[in-house]
Amino acid sequence: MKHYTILIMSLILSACGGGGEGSTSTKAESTTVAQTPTTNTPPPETTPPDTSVETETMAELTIAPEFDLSSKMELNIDVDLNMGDSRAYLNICLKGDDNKADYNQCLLRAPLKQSKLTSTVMLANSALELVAEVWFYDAQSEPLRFEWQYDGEQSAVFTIR
Amino acid sequence: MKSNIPAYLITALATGFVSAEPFEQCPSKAFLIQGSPAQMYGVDLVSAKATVLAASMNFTTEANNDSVNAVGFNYQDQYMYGFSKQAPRSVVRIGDDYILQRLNVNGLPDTNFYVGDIHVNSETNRAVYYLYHPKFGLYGIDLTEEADEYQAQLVAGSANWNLAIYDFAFHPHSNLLYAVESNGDLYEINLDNQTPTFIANLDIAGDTGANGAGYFDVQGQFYFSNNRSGKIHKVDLSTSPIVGYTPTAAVFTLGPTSNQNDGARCAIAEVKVTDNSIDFGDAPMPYKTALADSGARHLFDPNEDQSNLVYLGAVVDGENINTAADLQASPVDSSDDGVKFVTDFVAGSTSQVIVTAPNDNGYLYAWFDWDQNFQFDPDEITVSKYRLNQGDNSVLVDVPSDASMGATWARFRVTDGSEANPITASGGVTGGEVEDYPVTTYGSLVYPSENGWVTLAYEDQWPFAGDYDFNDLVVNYRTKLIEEDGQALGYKIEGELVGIGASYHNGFAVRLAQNSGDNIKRVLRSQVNESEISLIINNEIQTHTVLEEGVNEAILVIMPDTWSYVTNQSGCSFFRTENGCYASDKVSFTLSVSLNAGLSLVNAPKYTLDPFIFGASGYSHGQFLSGKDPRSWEVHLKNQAPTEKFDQSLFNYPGSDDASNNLFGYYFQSPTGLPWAIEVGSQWAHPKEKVDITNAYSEFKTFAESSGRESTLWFNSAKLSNVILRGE
Repeated sequence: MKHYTILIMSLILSACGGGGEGSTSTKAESTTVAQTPTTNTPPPETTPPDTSVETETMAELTIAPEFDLSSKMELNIDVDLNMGDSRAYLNICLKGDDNKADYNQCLLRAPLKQSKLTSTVMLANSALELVAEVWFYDAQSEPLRFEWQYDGEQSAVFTIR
Repeated sequence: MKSNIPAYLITALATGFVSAEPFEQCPSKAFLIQGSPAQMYGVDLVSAKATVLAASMNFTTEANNDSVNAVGFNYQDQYMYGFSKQAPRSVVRIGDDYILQRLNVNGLPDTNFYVGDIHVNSETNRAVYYLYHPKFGLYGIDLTEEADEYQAQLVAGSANWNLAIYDFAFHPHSNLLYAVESNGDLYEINLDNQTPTFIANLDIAGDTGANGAGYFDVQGQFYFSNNRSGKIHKVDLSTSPIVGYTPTAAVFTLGPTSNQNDGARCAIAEVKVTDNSIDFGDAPMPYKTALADSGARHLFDPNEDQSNLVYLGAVVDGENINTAADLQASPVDSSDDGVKFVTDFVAGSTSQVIVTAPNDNGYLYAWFDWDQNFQFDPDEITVSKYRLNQGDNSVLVDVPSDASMGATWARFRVTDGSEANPITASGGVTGGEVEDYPVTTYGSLVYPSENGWVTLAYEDQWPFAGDYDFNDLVVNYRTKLIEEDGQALGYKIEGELVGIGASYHNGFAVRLAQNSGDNIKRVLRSQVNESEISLIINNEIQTHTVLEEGVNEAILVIMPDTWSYVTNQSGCSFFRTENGCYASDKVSFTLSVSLNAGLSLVNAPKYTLDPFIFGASGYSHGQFLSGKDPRSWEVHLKNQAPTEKFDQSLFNYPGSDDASNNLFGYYFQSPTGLPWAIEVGSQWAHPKEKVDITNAYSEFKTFAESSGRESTLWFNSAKLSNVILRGE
């Protein structure tokens, strides 16, 4: 049985191009602005606050009473790998420079049950790109890998099949 | 230095003249004489690097074919002294040319001495060379005056001591002598009353055998080296005589092995890292990480050629970590990049770790602090001398069935595999790298991500409108929920205090609650395991009552008064909110909370929870509060209901700007919907003092007035001159 399981997994791995991008992740053309740091060159310390261009001040704004000013958004996670009871573990992390999951920036780490999981994660803002990696507790050093990026939909789902 | 020695020898032998010059200064390295004929090594105790100082040690007038033992360093005259086995057996003096000069000593029995050290009495400036033999006893030879003949004196009663020792060393400050027998028994020898005292059996973890070399450093740290394993153990004997404490031993360095071994050191020299060629770990105190704690460390480039290095991940580099304070100053080693924890760690099951190696030359060791006792115990070695292949290696780890839940640390060490015995979790090794990682057992749900921050920013004039610079209190913030099988088991709340632009004294707390529409998820105080709460601020464990008393909900007081945790920059009125006033260090905090029993994830609060500020005890928080408990004043994120401690009569205070309305669930907002606190979706550069947020962030207005539909990334639109740059 064990050998059988490994064989199936190997097939799936190669079907995904050696653990490359999953085919069902939500893809959208990028409408988001890259998160560039606001800091490049520090200003001289003596610079007075720049108030030359007077904008409307906070006190003059009107904000909807229901709006709490947070920019976070909830993302539903829907995993069903249809692989039976293989022991597997899901990591959902920010996308690293190498397009793999950045394990210093994970949001959700949880075991799959019957290769399924439904959960939610909260994104602090919509500019974040995610990579899901599924590991099978074996000698493989490459996981199944799936990507997600915000596509402007209010009810966002990261579907992993 | 290696190449100089033969030159000295050649010169000396050719001319027949030897100027046995003393050593120029008190050397930091330990001298180690091994083999027959005798060879002299210099051992850097920090890095374990052994350098050959003299490949053969000869006499002024003859070649040497035998051993030299019982050596000691005399820091009065800066010579080393030893006992030569070459006939006729004799005491020899060794200068900086490593040539042996016989001394004429009367009164010694006809035997071979292999235990010796020199005592320099700092008050009398008298130097005595002591030699010990278990059968004949302890003999002292006064070296103070240079002479043609020296006289050895037997110490009364010492022939009956029966110490099975192979070296000893004098404490640099107390005039007491220390030695360790083969089984780890530590003795303290007092020459005033001629008595050796058994102190304790040191736990040397099975490293038994002749401890042929013993040294002290100036701080009173005692080092002894096992001939067979090469391990150099360290014992803290800085308090001498040993009264009221039990010394313990830790492996300090993995040195060279030998059948025959003796050592000496200038006991008044410091042992410390003097360059950046040594890689240390990151695990905080009390894990053995800093040099002073015999921390794990590797001289990563032993041949100083940057080639054939053994390490993990993409890079290895070095740092100066002598003390716990050095570790606190640079707690993260960016070269720790070789290990990925791709599954969780659950008691009694197997986990998978991916270890990346740059070549096929490495052997991996790993320790996990499964029982969370803040040390890597010998039985917590989880991977031992595992051969790594180039690239990613899948390493399966068996988690013990009694592993504790929550946050702990793992240590990975890689070597070239040349070690005779498995290395330990502490001590120095030549070559290789150490990487330490915080590890969470069980699954986790993290907001916004494991190393990312959101920023909380507060105005503290509530219920009156403030100046909207949103810097009265600024906190970088994240939360982690620890879960197993659909049950929340605990929380970890981390943050950094990055700005205080307030004259008022505000406390900072988090309620374990989540406001999700009509449904409020909460953890009750009674559901929290109060005895296991851990709060660390700036690496110090906090002792104030964290779980607030007298309420039903779980409220965690992280800082009773934020001002009491900061050190303000000289000349600055506030903390990191004014021009030129952001050099003070941020204040970091980590709070870990376990629940008494699992709480269904469906009902467990998540994500931001409910962070809020409150009035610090003993300080005024404005005229309108006079006569009231400052704790009854709170500011929460907009539309987050206050806690039970809050004084509801403060809502809609006459003449104020508050328009809270219980009926609609509107809290902490003005009649035009303005908040007193915001959560920003990234690590944020907060406005400078008195700079209105709309003037610091040009897109904020659009974001706020569109209810977040437009300019969703408004926090990236900073006007640089109007904000305090993050990362300062």
